Amino acid sequence: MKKSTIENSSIGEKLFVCEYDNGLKAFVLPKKGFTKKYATYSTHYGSIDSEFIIPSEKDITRVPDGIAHFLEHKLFAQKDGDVMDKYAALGASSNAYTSFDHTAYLFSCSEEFKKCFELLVNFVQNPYITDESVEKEKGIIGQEIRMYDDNPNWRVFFNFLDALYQKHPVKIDIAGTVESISGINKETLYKCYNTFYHPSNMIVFVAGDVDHDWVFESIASNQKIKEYKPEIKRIFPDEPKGINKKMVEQKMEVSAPLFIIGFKEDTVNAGPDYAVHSAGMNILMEMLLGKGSDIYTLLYEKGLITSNFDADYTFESNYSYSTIGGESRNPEEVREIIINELNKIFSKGLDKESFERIKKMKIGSTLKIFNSVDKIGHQFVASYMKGLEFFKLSDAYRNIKFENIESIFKKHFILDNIAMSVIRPTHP
Amino acid sequence: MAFEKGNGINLKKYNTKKGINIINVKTDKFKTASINLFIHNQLDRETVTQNALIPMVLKRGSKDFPTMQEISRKLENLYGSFFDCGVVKKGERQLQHFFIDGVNEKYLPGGEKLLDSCAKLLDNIVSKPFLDNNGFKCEYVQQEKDNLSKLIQSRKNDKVQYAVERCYELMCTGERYGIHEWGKVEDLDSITPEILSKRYHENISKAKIDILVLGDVGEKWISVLEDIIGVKTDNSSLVEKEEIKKDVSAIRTFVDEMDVNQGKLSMGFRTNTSLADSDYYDLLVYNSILGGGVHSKLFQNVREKNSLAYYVFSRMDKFKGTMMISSGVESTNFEKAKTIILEQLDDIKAGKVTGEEYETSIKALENSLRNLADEPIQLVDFCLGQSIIGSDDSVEEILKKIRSVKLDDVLKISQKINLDTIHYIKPRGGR
Repeated sequence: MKKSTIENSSIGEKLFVCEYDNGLKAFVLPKKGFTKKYATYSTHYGSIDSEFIIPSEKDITRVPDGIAHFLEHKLFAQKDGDVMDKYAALGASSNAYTSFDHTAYLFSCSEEFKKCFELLVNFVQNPYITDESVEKEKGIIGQEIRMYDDNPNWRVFFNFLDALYQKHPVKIDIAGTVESISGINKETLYKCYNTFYHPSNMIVFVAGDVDHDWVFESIASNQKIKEYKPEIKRIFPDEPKGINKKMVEQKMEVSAPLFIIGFKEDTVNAGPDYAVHSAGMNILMEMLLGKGSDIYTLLYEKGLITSNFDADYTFESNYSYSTIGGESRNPEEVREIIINELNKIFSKGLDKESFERIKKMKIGSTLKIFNSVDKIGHQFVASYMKGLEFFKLSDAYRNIKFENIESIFKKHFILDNIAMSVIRPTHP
Repeated sequence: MAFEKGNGINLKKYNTKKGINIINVKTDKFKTASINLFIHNQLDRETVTQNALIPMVLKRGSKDFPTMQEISRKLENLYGSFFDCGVVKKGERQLQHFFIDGVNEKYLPGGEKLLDSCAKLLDNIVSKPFLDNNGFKCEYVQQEKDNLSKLIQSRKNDKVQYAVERCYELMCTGERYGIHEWGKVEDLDSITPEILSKRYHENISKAKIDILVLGDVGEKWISVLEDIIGVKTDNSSLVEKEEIKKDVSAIRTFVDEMDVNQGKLSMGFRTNTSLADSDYYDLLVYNSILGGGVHSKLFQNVREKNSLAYYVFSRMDKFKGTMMISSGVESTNFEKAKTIILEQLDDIKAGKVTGEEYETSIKALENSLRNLADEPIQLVDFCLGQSIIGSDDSVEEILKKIRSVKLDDVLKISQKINLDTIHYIKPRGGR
């Protein structure tokens, strides 16, 4: 095992790192004076990993949509009882979540950290799945899916992804559908578990006032028997260039239309340019559409949008896009105005003063993440899984130049790649 | 003045000459410092919508920053300091909340006096609004009336939250508690800039005002803040104490139909107990056992044993003494879920609570209280709650009170809890 330390004096934080021979990586971010301790054990396996080749096999395995999330639910069941109950008995709270590309198991506690931590490392490595418990879980997850089906913000987002992508599995709901999960059984769950829940595909992250050496040793004694496994081959369909549909619409019980407008990026931003591109896009979205921007002001004063309005950029290891979302009586007009205004900026150029302002803003807002151990944990894992260095996020903002932004602007806002999703009221 | 040690909360209170209370929680744990200004108003049918509208109009522009864009750009220049305002409901109290959160200067290049600028901006928005001849700028009032109307109507978009609010609305019709803090669309037409300005002046000169400062600042800076703040109140408008005790003559049932897939079942209760009562902590433990987390009877029986729901919880309002159970279930399973939920209440009444259920419920409460000091938002909420009831209890003292609750106390309090209203949201056109 190999230990190292990363320090970032500008944010006043330090990170202890330990890499194990079997490929597992562990990180501890000390938080002196905090009562709350937070730990997560996460695997680089999410909803989009539905096709892969198991290391010892030749053929492609294709599993039902929603299985990563289903597995997340099922890992809480252990031979000697439910893990949630065990955490409750320790006075701690536990949880888990599944995203497009990872699954995280976590707990937070104020006392009994060592017992809680050992429990985390153990339960994630000891699945106990029975046919009966799989059937029972279908009822619970079925209700979770139905709840999200009634959530207009969730629906407008997934419909938007469906508008952007022709084949990429990111367009499929993380939990799958009531129909797709009906095909899940014990055998497939174990197959996915054995493929993706391997130390070399996983990380441990802890934040709080804890002894990092104890954490690293505790993992070491647990990991002795586990060997390194060859890399998993994930298969993603070739996503054609260009969007799937210009518009996706759905009717729901909402008070006014909800919309997301956004641009798909055709080129995958791999390599060290990642961090610059991502920071640059985040700055651009704020410069062009943030609360201090001219476009936001114009739309707001026309009564076309409310303060429920957001402009964001998302990028993962093999797909990326921007989103502009909110509530409007006329989403089409919003889109038209945004396109017109962007065209004007194309000809007259970006505003350097706005750039400097937003750069300052982003330096401040990356610092804020460090206020809460939960937020640190969540963001650290998400950054790690897409190959970004969490500790360098604020550096990326400090170092970015206006020239970087200008070229990113030209690359991103391609009008052919704009798509829109709208949820309209059933009773206008 | 109270001083508290332990659990990392170092709290001091100041009564200022301007009639405002300043509460300072000094901590160097966070990268930011936040200033929260609360104006305490009675939740009242006559004024609710005006009070909700005022923060929305104030954030449109102030004397030195006459447009929203200028305010936003100022915030961006202050290293992404975050400002927002709105109304919150605590019992039968409607509070206008203005807050700003700025990065601690020591993490910034150049070491600017960022917090002073934040305090000045907050004060500019709260106490020096952008005015024209008739008071608030007409255009701002008009546009924000429209926005408030949209906001009120959008309540139904979030079905989980709406189910709870709607059940309380029906259960407490005729009581102040039944009023939503955003008010009613029908009130908006008659609100003019003059009426609104008058209400605003009444708010800032007569209501109780608290300022909560959370961050690495001490007494010296509190006096700087005291000078910056331009409002002065005589504390003459009082908020009445909630009516806690209420007999239920008959359980009422209401059904709403909506275009949804999943039904919602909500059940509102009167606990006849509030934070001011000596048996309040018994109720707190009772609620934890019943539906306060994954360890609770509701979660274990409705979700884990019977797979009827993904979420089910019970939640109390400590000021009003009401309790709400809510769950998302198939409408075809409504009766089954209701029966299981009521069985859990009956089981507690009959003393069917295991030692384990009792222990884990106490531990869950202890854990969340101890972690309070590490989460800025929860910490502010806790301090506000203490200010409302006028309590100086420290976290340690509260922990002691929770630990002293015996199972017998839980059984005793369970006898005081009565079901008042059942509300269903059913898929439209369904059974």
